[in-house]
Amino acid sequence: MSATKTLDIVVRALAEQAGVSAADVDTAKPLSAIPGIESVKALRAITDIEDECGVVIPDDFLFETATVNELAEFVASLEREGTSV
Amino acid sequence: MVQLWNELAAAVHDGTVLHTPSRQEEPVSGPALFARAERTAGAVIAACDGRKPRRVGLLMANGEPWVRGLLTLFRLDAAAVPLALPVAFGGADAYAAHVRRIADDASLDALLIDGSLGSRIVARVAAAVPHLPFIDIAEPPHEAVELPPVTGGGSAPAVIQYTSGSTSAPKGVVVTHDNVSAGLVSIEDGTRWTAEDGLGQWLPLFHDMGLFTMLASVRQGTPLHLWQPGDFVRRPMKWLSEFAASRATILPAPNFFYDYLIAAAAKGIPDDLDLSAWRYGGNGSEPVRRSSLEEFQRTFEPYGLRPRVVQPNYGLAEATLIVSSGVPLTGYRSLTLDRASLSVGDKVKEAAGDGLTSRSVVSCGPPVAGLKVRIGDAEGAPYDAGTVGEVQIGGDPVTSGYLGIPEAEQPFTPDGLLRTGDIGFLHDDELYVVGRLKAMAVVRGQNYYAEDVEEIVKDTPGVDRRHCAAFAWDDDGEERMVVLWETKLDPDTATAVGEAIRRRLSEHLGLGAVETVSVSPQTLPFTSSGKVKRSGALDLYRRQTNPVSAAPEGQHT
Repeated sequence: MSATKTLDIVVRALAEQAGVSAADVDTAKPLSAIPGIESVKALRAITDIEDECGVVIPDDFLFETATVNELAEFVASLEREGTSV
Repeated sequence: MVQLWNELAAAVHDGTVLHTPSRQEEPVSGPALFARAERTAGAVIAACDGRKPRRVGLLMANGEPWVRGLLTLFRLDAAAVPLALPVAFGGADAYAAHVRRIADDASLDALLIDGSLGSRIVARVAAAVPHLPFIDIAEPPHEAVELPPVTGGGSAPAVIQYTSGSTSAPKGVVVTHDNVSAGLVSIEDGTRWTAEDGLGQWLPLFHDMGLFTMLASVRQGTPLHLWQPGDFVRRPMKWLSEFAASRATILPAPNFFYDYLIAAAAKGIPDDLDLSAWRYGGNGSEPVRRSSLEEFQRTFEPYGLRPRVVQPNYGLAEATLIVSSGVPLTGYRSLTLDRASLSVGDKVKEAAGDGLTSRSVVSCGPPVAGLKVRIGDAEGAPYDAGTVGEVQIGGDPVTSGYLGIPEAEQPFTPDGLLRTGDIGFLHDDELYVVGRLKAMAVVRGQNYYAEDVEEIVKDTPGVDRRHCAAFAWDDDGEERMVVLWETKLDPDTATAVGEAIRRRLSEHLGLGAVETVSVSPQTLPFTSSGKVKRSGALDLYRRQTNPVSAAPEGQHT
């Protein structure tokens, strides 16, 4: 899966759970900056991303104030690991 | 005088099995769990330079080590201090500072960990409290060592439960062995718990409702199925199937749990879902909505949900949990009341029907055994039945106060009842809770304190002279925190500051239900000692919003 496609999935999942359009998600900002997001919605989005990308995102990651881009990069790295095994 | 270790150890048997389905742990029987706790106690003493620790924090996700760690501390007559886990996106630094404040306030001697939290966050916490040993109890030691005899109990603290202090001064409720033992009797009475029951629970064990309900199950010797909050939040319908398959009969939850499952059901319910074993579903720790109860029943009745399983209840850490509960398998009561009759000192008036000026209030049931409930004023003078006042409680389960807080600031009436800060009334000997005096919003079962919110808002660049006020607001049963802040900035810049405030609250407190309103400098009212008047700020907010849709002050559905 290409990195751009992973970013698309991440943005779409976050936007859908937050109830905003994908254009409202600033990928250079932390997830907490997404309008309407809160921890339960974020967890749901993470679950959607896991299902769609076939990865497991450790809980640890959620406690970091990562940006949307960083989350997508992290998911892409997990995907690469998964396919190389 | 009770020593909880002895009391609980005597209650368990081979049928008292602890299952943790999401943790890949083998189920463990009660006697084996206590044997493991004894071995763990040896390891804890060794890690504390050969001495019994006095107070120890539990920094773990739900699992066998959490339960075992708690029992270990009872064994050692050390007070357990459950630590809330970080919220998603909360930021590791803010969390580490939060743990440090509690470690300082409680004078912790050590922290119990088990690897369930992730090494990065634990490393940050460790850096914030460098003097504390972190004892990894993931695996109990294989060898037992000689332990000192079981001592203490009675009026010694068993648990110190922190209720606030995410950013401001921490407040720990001290509950003794005697309090807990009496509180478990009250839980058993409220739920009519018997040896035939079994507990199914995803609530975090660091939450008062999760902690004391788990202990009630141990004391009854009944099986315990323990999930993690994330299991339910991430995949609610899969979780519900697992709960149903466990044949657990008792489940504690806040109101949002029921709404969340209703929403999840819209995407499909497994055909083979069988909820017929479920007997008591507590609905507590946040305002109970009648619509949630009704809709939940409608949605899941075709899947074996018995009528009247879900029972509203009312409790708080200060009561070692439960104060009142709907009587299991009886219909809950509710009243439709005139909104204008719900302020302190008012005699409640039934409304002619549903409408904007009326509000339905669900009964939280009669007080449970062991709890005395009085509706009174600040001095403790009782109000008549049907009159709104503060809910004040007494009895053996009730705490004797907060840790390290001066006598004058302890929350008691002159005659010694605990002031809950919640307001309500009694009707036909049942308790109806209609709001609260304390400055706090409840969102998804979590308490968020105005004081914590204001501490964060004050430090946000653009807030003029650190002037702000926060208070809870209720919109048709959904609570949010409203923040008023003073600014000289132009509207566009002020909007950006409002966004920054919301983001900081989300990062530091995990609070997303926030409305920010900028006001001109010198508009917020302050007391002569410089404290913001939240009630005055609320009036200001109410004048700025549509008066028809706004609920009266302090009113919560």
